[in-house]
Order: sequence, then C-alpha cells, then structure tokens
Amino acid sequence: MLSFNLLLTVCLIYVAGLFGVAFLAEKNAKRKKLGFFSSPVTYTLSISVYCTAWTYYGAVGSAARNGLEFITIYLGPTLVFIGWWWLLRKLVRIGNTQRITSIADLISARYGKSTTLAVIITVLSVIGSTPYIALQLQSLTLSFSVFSDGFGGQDPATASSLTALWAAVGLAAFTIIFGTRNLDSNERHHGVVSAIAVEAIVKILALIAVGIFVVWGVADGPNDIMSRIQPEIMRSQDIFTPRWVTLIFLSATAVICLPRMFQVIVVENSDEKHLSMASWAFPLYLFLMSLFVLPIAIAGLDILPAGANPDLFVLTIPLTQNQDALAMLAFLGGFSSATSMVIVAAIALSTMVSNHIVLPLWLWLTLSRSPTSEDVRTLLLRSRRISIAVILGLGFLYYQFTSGTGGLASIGLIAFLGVAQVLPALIGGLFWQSSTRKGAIWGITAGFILWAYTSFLPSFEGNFILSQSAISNGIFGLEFLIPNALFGVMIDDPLVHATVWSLGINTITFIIMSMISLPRPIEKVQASQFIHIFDQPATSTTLSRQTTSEELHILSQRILGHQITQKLFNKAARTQGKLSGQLPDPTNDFVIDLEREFAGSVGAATAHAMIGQIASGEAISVEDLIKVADETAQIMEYSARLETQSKEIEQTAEQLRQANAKLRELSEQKDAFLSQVSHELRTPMTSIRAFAEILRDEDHMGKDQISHFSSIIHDESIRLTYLLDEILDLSFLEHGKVQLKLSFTKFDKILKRAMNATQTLREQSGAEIQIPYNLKNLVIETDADRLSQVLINLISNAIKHSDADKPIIRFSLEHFEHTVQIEMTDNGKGISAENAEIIFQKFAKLSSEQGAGSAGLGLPISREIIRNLGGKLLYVGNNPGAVFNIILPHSISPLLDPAETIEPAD
Amino acid sequence: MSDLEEPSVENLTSSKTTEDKPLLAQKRNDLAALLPICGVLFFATPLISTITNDNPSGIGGTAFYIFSIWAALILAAYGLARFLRGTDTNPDEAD
Repeated sequence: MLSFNLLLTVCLIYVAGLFGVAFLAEKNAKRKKLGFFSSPVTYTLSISVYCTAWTYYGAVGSAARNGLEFITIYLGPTLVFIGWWWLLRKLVRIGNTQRITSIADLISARYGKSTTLAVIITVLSVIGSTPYIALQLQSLTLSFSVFSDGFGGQDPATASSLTALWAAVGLAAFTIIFGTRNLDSNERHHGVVSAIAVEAIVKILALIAVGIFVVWGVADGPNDIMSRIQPEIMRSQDIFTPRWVTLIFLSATAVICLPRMFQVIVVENSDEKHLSMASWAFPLYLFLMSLFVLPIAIAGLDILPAGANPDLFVLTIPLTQNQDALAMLAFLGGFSSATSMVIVAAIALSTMVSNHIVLPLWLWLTLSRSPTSEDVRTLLLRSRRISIAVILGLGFLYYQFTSGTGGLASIGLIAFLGVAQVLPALIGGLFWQSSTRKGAIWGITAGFILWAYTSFLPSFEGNFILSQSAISNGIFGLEFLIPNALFGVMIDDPLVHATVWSLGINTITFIIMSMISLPRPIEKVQASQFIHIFDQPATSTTLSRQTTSEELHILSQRILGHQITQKLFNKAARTQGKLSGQLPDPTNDFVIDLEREFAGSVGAATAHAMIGQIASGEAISVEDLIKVADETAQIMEYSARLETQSKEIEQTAEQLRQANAKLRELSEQKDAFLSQVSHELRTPMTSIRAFAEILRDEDHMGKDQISHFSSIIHDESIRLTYLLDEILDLSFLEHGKVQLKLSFTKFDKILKRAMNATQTLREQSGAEIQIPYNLKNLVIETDADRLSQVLINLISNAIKHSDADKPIIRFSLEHFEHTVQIEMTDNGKGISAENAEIIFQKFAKLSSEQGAGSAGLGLPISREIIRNLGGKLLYVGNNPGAVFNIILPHSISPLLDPAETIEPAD
Repeated sequence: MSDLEEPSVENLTSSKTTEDKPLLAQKRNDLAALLPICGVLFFATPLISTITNDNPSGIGGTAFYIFSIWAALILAAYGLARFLRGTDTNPDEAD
C-alpha cells in the first residue's frame, strides 16, 4: 500500500516538474524559440482541459450507474470539432483579429463593446464555474482519501478539508505565478499551456494504462469483459432519449462557451492552422479517453465489493490488485485533470473579472483624464492575482458548504447549462446581422434567471435561497412555479426541463428583443466585422482622434508596461518614417493598433473606453463618424432637393420677372396715358380759366365781348366733356363693359347714319363716297350705333387727312365662311411708315399735322368697338391711299363674350 | 443628384469576396458542413437506437456502433482537414 507521505512527495515532484516545463516554455517564448511548445500538438493537448476530474473519475462512475450516457459528454465536443470550419474557425479568426481576451469580451465586443453585457457574462461565468472548481477540489480530496491510511490518525472530515485547502492554495500559487506574468493576450500563457499539455498526456496515459490493465490484466480480454456485464448497465438499452440529445447538445455548447474552453481554444491559439489538426486530433483524444471507461466500470462492479464508490474505480481497481505504480499513475492522471481545469478556469475567470468588473469600476472611480495615482498595469495584475485567489477561495468555500451532499455530483451538467445561456447571443452575433445588444442582454438575463430557478438553486436541495418546500411545492406554494415543473410542464428529467425552459426562453427573448430594437451604429460596425470576418482581411474601421502621442505613450506604459510600449512606439515611428527616439504621430492606424493591443490586455470594451477617455474632448468615435456620415447623407439628399427647388424657384422668378416687365410696361403706358390725358384736359381748362378770369375781373366789357368769351368757354367745356366721354367710352370698351344693342341690320342703314353725320364735312371738302351694291344689301348682326360710330370716324379721318382736291373714299366687300371683310380705301397720300405704328395708340398725334379738335382717341375707340363686336379693325397699308379693313362676323350671338374669345387687335 | 450618389454606391457594392474561385470555395464550405451533419444524424437521432435495438449483445453492440462511427468520423475529419488545408486561400494572420 502506498503511504500518504509517498503520495505527497510524488505529487510535489510532479508539480515541480510542471513548474519546470512551464518555466522552460516561458523562457523559450521570450527567445521566440517555442518549437514544440507552440505546435498544433500542444494546442490540441491543451484543449483536453475539457476532460476534468469530473470526467476522469466521474465517467466511470456514470458508466457504472447509467451505462453509455457518459459518452455524450465526449460526443458533443466531437461534433463541434469536426465542424470546426463553420464555427471554431470563425471564432479563432475573430479572436485573433480583435484581440479577444474572453468569451465575455467577445460578446461585449460584438454588441458594440458593451460593458453591461461583459459584466453580466462575467457574473454568470463566475457563478457557473465556482461549483465546478469545488467539484475538482472534491475529486482531489476524494482521491487523496483513498489513501486515507496515511492520514496519520486524523479525523477524515478535517483531513479532507485540509487537503482541499492545501490544494486550493497550491493551485492558486501556481496559477498566479504562471497565469499573471504578462498582460497581453498576444503573448499568451505559454508556460501554463505547456504544463497543461504535459498533464493532458499524463491523464490519457494513466487512463489507457488502467484500461489495458483491466482488460488484459484483471479480465481475460475484451470478450471476457463483455461477458461480465452487469444487469444494471444492460438496463439502459434504448439510449435515445430526450436526455441523451440534451446531453450531447449541452456538451457541444460547453466546449465553446465554458470560459476555460474559450481560453484554450480561442485566446491561446497562436495559429489558425493549429485548429485543423485539433479538428480530428481532439476527437481522437476524447475517443481514447472514453474507450476504456466502460470496461473499467464493468470490471469494477464485478471485482470490487458492493457499495464501493464507482467514481473511484480508476484508483481502487489497481489498488486492490496491488498495482501501486499503476495506482500512482492513475492518481496523477486525476490530479492532472483537476489541476489543469482549475488553473485555466482561474486564469480565464480572473481575466474576465479584472477586465470587465475591476477596471471599469476603477475607470469610473478615477474619472480624471490621465490616471496619475495608480498604474493600470499594476492594478490589472494585482486585481487578477486577487481574483484568482478569490475564485479559488469561493470554490473552497463552496466545497466546504456542500461537501457530503450529493448535489455536487450533478453540478457539472448544471454548470454546462449555465454557461450555455451565452450560446444564443454568441451564435446570433456570429451569423445574424440584426441581433442587437438589447436582445443579447435580455436573452442572457432571462435564460440566466430561469436556469438559476429551475436548475441551479434546486441543486442545493433546500440549503440555499430556495427552501425544500419551495422546490417541491413551488415558491409561496404556487404550483405553477415548481422549479421542476414550471407552468405545469411535466418533463421527467429535471435537466431536460431546465434546458428547454432556460434556453428556449433565452432564444425567444433574444430574437424578439433584437427584432424590436435597433442596433447602435457601433454595433452595426462590429456586426459586419464579426459576421464577414473572412471577407475583410484588414479592418475597415476608421477613427480619427485628437490626442497627442505623449498621452498615448503614458497610457500605453501604464497598461502594457515600459518595454512593450517602447517596442510598439518605435515600430510605429519607423513605419511613419521617423527617426528612432521620436514619438510617432497619433494617426488613425496607430491609434487603432494601440486600441487592439490594449484590448488584448484589458478587453475591447475597456480599451475602447480608455482610448475614448484620453481622447475625450474632440474625440471622434466610430459612432460619431457614422453619425457624421448619416448627417452627410441627409445633407446631400437635402441639397439635392434644394437644387430641384431652386430650379423651380428660378423658373418662377423668371415668370415673375416677365410679369414684372409687363407690369412695368403697362404702368409706363398708364403713366404716359395719364400725362397725355392731363395734357389734353389742361389745354381747354387753361382757356376756360383764362376767359373766366377775364369775365370776372373786367368790369367794362361790351356785350359782344362777353358773349364771345362765354361762347369760347362753352365750346371748350363741350370739348372737355367730349374728351372725357371718349376716355370713359374707351375705358368701358377696353374692359368689355359696354352694353351692345345687337340686332340684324342692313348695312345700308348704318352707312346712311354715317353719311348723315359726316354730311357737313363731305360737303365742305367735296368728298365722294363709293359704296358697292352688295355692301348696301349686307345684313349682319351687330350694334348699328357703334358700327356707324366707327364708320364716321374712319370717313372723317380719311377726309380730314386727305391732301387730294376731291377726296374719294371707296368701300368694297368680301365674304368669308364666317366673316365679312369691309375694305375702305381713299385716294390720299397714305400713312407714313412712322405714323402707321402709332395710329392706333391713344392720344396719338400724327407727326405731320395738328389734328384740330381731335384728342387722338378716334382710332383706338374704333378698334375697341370692332373688337367688342367680335371683329378686327386693321390698317393694311397704302394703295396708294390708306387701306383699312373691317372684319366682322356674320352673326355675333354665338360669341357670348367677344372680349374673351376674340383676340385683341394687334 | 444622381451624379453625386453614383460613385459612393459603386464603392459600397464593390465585390467583397477575396476568393478567386467562389464556386469552389462554396463547394468546399458545403463539404465541411457535411461531417457534423453526419455526426448529428448518427449520434443524436433515433438512428442510434433503431440500429442497435435488435442487437442481442445489448450495450456492447451499442458501444460498438458508437465507437465505429466515431472512429470513422475522426478519420473523415482527418481527411477533411488535409483537404481544406490544401485549398484554403484565405490569408493567415501574421502573428
């Protein structure tokens, strides 16, 4: 029998060996000669941290109790790894490009570098992992207790506690020494990874050795083993159950979502190519790990006394067969499984706690622009060391709290389900563009609460928060709140029940909240960077910040340390073509690189916040840039609209200008008209006034004189009245306000009236009017008075302006379809071209003569009358005397409003 | 208006793919998806019990079934990894 002291000595030597390996790896890493330590084999072996003491010892126990169920824990990861091309490759690529430090960091970075999300996942991970660490401590103490003969007469319970305490302290020391040497994830934990790789070899060798011993040493080959199968194991024939599928699913999820698995697969990955080897080598490792589990369980049940703990068969079979060396190897295998898990989990969790909880808190407490009181680097390392100690302390407390209860055995799967709450947000983040931060936060929170209520709290069996009665009868006695039958949903297996509820509600909440909320701009940027990671080798983020190199240098020194900062800044200075010793310019690229480097140490969210803080003031963040871009797009659209509008306005303005010009022209015409009118009025008024004054002032005037003057005044008044009548008439005609007395009239009658009116004039000048017979007989519908007025005007004009001895005026008639054209010619000299333009204007005084008694309104009035009668009065030229055409419709009645339908005369 | 927008639209929609032969890459991706689907089909569907239920050797037969499929999947994954490494044209991270 092995003595306890011997066991302890071997353990210490083993640990010293691990220290040596870790130290060697760290040393080689510094000289950049890693060789084996950074090979895909080491990477694959480090992933085997998945196989904890729970699987090392517990798999055999599970096989002894439930047959093949243990194998699901290995099948899930196998499926994930053979499908590496789809998920793991993407995760690793994102991890490398975005300098991701943990699963909380990944999800927070994906959803817009959200601190809230990072904190939630960190808390969830710590809660989910602490019992798991306790489980490892329990395994360690159990395996020590097998050799309890060597405890030296101490009380077994005290001895167990002591062992657990020392194990926790030792693990904390190892983790602190090798896990917190450096900060940048880019350097990674080579020492730790190498030590874990060695442990991976030890545990698989140990299990295979025990397996071979059992099959060919204890039994007589595989057939003998198969013949010893107990009915307990045979019982589980139909293995395809909801629990089977759930276990495969949960283990597949765990290999991605467990903080320690994320740490070794994504964070510690130094080359994407390593993954392609791990894709088959890790399943092979799992295959070998599980190959002998069933034979060991069968042999243990067969040869060991009933009631022996099947969880310890791996140790107890060699011991009972007096194979001390094999037992020692088996013990070291279990020891390796427990320690490697605890170390990696502590590193992963402490990184999360310090990056996502301690640092943001500290940043919040010291809002100053540049930290002066504390050194970020020291703070981070210190907080990580403390976190490791606290996490292991929590694990130990949890172990103390629950030791002796059977609750611990099932805690492995409960932890799996706890961390699986991250899965919807993770998968959504990698493949679904529209998933949002709100969706992730609400989904994870809802899943977390349901997991705690249906799975985690009931596992304490009434010792923690939920009482025994609350577990069996529902909280406050409400039946629909029974943790194992929520809302009356009866699922036999509590784990399946909890999985369906928590992950189902989680996923639905995640999807619904994502759909009803809008992603912030930075989320959109991060989403496309994550989802299209393979399409964009280089980052497309452009940031422009107003900060100085000195500030960046100070911050960088605080976070990354002096040496790394110096190296980074020198490299950047060289790239920018500066002399060595000069600081590089804070260009976009440089700031982005720096933020990446910081992200490797403190996580994306914090790095973003720190750079943002130092560059506050004139900082332009991606959000701002996107906002600017949005605004620019809006402005462009707006200006395009303005352009269209301004075109319209221009057109309108042109129309207005034209209208204005017309108005001005009209106004000028009106002014001219008014001045002409006043001039025309002034002349008679002046003479009236003058003669009136004479009549008033002269006392001694003869009767003749008085009569003469009075008649002048009378004549002038009549002329004035006549003029005013004409103006009024013209105004009425122009506005179409005249009342026409329409009737069918023979033209002869109209002509006679005109002849009578001009009789005196004709007789004085001896003028002759020639009227053809057909014109006399013409009958048209018209206003006879008005038409005769036109004829009078034309005839008297022709006579007055004629220079012939005997003026002759000739009329002729021509019929058209709807109109008649009456032409009037005289034998005078015609109208000069100069006068032809103005004869139709008001008050036109022909240049060559002074029309006595004429105000120059005759022709304008005539033209307006004809227009009102639905026709046209045109001057068509000289032949050689002036020729006027009067065009009139046969009938005016159909033209209801002649002023509108007939175009005004030119 | 449209003159202003056109260039930016072109930039946005310019081809993103870095693959030289998109069709080949697509087929390679499809092939990579085949393996986990086969795995789920063999391990997480009732197939696992219909094949083994009639087996008189009980749990031994089931174990044999699982381990055989498992080994086959590992071999296939090995082949796939070699094949994918040969065709992967994506630039690797310069670490």
